[in-house]
Amino acid sequence: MNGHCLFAASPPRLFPLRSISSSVSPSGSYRIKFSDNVAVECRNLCFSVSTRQGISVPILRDCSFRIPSGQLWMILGPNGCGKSTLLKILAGVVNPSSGTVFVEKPKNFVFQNPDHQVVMPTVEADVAFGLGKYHDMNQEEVKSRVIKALEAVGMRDYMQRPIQTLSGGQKQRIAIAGALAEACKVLLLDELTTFLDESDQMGVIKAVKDLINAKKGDVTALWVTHRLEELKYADGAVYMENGRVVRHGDAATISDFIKAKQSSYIDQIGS
Amino acid sequence: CIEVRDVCYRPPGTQLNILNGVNFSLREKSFGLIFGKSGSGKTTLLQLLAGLNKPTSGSICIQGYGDDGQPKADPDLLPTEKVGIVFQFPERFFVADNVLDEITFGWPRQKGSLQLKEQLTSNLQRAFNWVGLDSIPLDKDPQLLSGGYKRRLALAIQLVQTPDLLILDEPLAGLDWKARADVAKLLKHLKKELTLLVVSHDLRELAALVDQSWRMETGGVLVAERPPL
Repeated sequence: MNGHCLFAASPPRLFPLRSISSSVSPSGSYRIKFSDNVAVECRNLCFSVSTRQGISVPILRDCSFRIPSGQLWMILGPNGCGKSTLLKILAGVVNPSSGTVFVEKPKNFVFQNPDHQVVMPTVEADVAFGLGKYHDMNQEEVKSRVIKALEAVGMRDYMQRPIQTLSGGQKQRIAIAGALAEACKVLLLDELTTFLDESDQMGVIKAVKDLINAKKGDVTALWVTHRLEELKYADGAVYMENGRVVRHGDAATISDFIKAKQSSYIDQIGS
Repeated sequence: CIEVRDVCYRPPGTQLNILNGVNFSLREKSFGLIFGKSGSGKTTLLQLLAGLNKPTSGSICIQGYGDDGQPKADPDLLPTEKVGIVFQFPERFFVADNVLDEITFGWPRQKGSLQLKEQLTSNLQRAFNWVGLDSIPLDKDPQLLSGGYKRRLALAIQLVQTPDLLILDEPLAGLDWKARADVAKLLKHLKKELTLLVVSHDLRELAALVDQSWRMETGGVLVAERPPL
């Protein structure tokens, strides 16, 4: 697999600084070990918040990594390690304290709770909702985009369904379809499976995996999760602890690393 | 023994029942698990048990049994003040800026007798011991606790009220593997002290603790069934 290698986050490596404008093609000098196409990159990212007592608490400490285009990557780590905060920074919802961020545009953020983002009465209307800001788009174009997006997540037959008849996982897929209808390049997905039962969990993650494969390099997904079993669907992963990127690279290596940590902890509490 | 008989529930203004003829019994100091697909009505049932809503029909009672297994006396309605409920993501409901204020938020505000104060203090200490919060300073901001410790605090808030039945809606949701293992272990100890009823999708970690389990099927029907896996 192209571009897969494992390296520790420290000492920090100097990534070549890439122009934010996606219209500028990278020159040959950017070609190192990775693919030319980078969908997400952050460098020395830091973020702190102030508590109600006025104390500054660091959430992200010097995070750096790079994600190639056209892949499904996952961010994992214990609660409080900063992975959802990192995703919000990549989404532009939150500004970092320092460091640089590049995310290919357009990008879309999909929330955890499916009931927070399906807002229209039917599936078709909800997927089309985000296209309302493109005033010059005609009816046929909207319909065509909606159909393609629903096909991509395996929900084409539900087009006329009332939203309240859907399961949580189906609503999540509708939200993803809404992002795709806007022809987004990067999907940022925050713990989508938290509220779902097992079959719905599998339905959503397989839909994302299938869509990445079908789009052939045109769409990249970054998926935050605490469910280690989901890692088997990923191309690569970023493992975080205490606001740091501890390790990133191909999914199998990260999976082995986490399993070793996990089994030693469980042995510990079992005794 | 908590007994739910023929419970139906229809939200006001709607035409379809969410719950249809739910029946189950849960023994004292045992662990009951309800699982099933998203949207099947599990959380609605918990809200009825906690007294947040009333059933459209049916009853929720405490039935005592003699040593011979025969019911003794008539059943009493389950008193809602003896039921504690911890919602999904309970930390989203925290209101105070330190642990002590958070846990005493619902306590009596009027001047109480010394005996009442001693009892509350004793309950607080016991609840903290049960959930493993002994090492957390009382002036800590609840928002700065880890995910797993936030769940423990939410449990402690209910435990100080000394409920007979503690209801937990997705107690492991959103926690990492370490916090899940810790909370599962904690629940194992808790079920020696009181009755637990849990709704969860996370069946793997909880299966070893389960004494009785049911599947909530689409259409709001409850069926006794062992957890899969």
